[in-house]
Amino acid sequence: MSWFKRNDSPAAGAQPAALPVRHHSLAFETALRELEREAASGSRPLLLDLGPALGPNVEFFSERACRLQIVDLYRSLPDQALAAEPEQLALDLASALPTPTVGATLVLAWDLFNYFRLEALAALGLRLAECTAPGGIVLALVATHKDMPARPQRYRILDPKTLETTVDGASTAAAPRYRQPELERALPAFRVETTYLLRAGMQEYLLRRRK
Amino acid sequence: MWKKDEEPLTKPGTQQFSSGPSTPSAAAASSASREPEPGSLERAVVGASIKINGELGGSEDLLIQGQVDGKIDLAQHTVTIGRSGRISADVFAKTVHVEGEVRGNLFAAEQIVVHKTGSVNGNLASPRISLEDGCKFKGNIDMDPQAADPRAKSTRPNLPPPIGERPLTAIAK
Repeated sequence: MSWFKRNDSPAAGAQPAALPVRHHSLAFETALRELEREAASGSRPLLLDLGPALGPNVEFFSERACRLQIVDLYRSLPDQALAAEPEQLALDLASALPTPTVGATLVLAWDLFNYFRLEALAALGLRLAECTAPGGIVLALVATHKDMPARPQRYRILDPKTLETTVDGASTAAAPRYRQPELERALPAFRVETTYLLRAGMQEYLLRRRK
Repeated sequence: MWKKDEEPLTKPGTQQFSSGPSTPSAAAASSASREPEPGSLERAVVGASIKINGELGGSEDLLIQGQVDGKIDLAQHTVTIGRSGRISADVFAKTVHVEGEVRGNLFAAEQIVVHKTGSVNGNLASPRISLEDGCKFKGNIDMDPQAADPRAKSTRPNLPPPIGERPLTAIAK
């Protein structure tokens, strides 16, 4: 199974995973409304999920007349890819995240941005621009506290307003704590449309692909 | 070994394939298979030691514990890729269960289930798709009933080209 590179299990000696945490996601609610609006027009919009494939999420979107593309991007990248030069990372990203046949109306990037240093985030931004339809939305959660989980969390959709977050293991890493101007510089193809500050050390962003 | 996991009877219209002496692993793989689906009395088995390169078709359910490269077309039946099964093929079936490893596109008229031990690198098209926690999946999911219809080829451009489109070196049908 060479296309799933990263070991998802906690490292030996790591503490057990924390209990799932639920939060009301205004960003998800807003993005979902937009997706449903487009689906109601009969266009069967594409949703691109950059997190691991989760059965409940698939079931949730199956009721919404959209097409779903799932790429667990963090775990699909080769080891050390995030530390590589931007040119190499761009190649790795293109391999792991092929351009869809139609641009995505909604991209669920979850907390992926936190695991890309600024130069790498720019490479990711270019890839996302290729994959997102003009006017499409990227949902991202950016860490605001000093520390964050060492690996991206799993986001399970419980209902149109509620997400449940599960952390793999208890190990932590320093968070880059990106601010809005940094995001806008790293992702020039997008503009920050809305942002919501959460109490759990995360800030939700909705980034709109420029037309 | 290509054999039934229910009864050693050969019905008219069905065939059995032999690939040489039976091996303990193949026998074990065959005997380890699950009970067939309710209403399905028979199921053919591709044993763990068997490798098939080509196109598979037929009129009964199929359990794959070995390796298949090419295409599997059992539009009216259930195809199960067992835990030791590895396929690089497009699959057209009524129902598909994945417990092993798949590289290719799956089209099912009724349902696709990727079990927790399963991994799929390819696209899924079916009205009902279930991914169990722990499974590995990378690709597109299309739950439009028309996209899942193996005969509705006009809807397939929604999905990337099947990776199974390669020269076939043998036809086992």
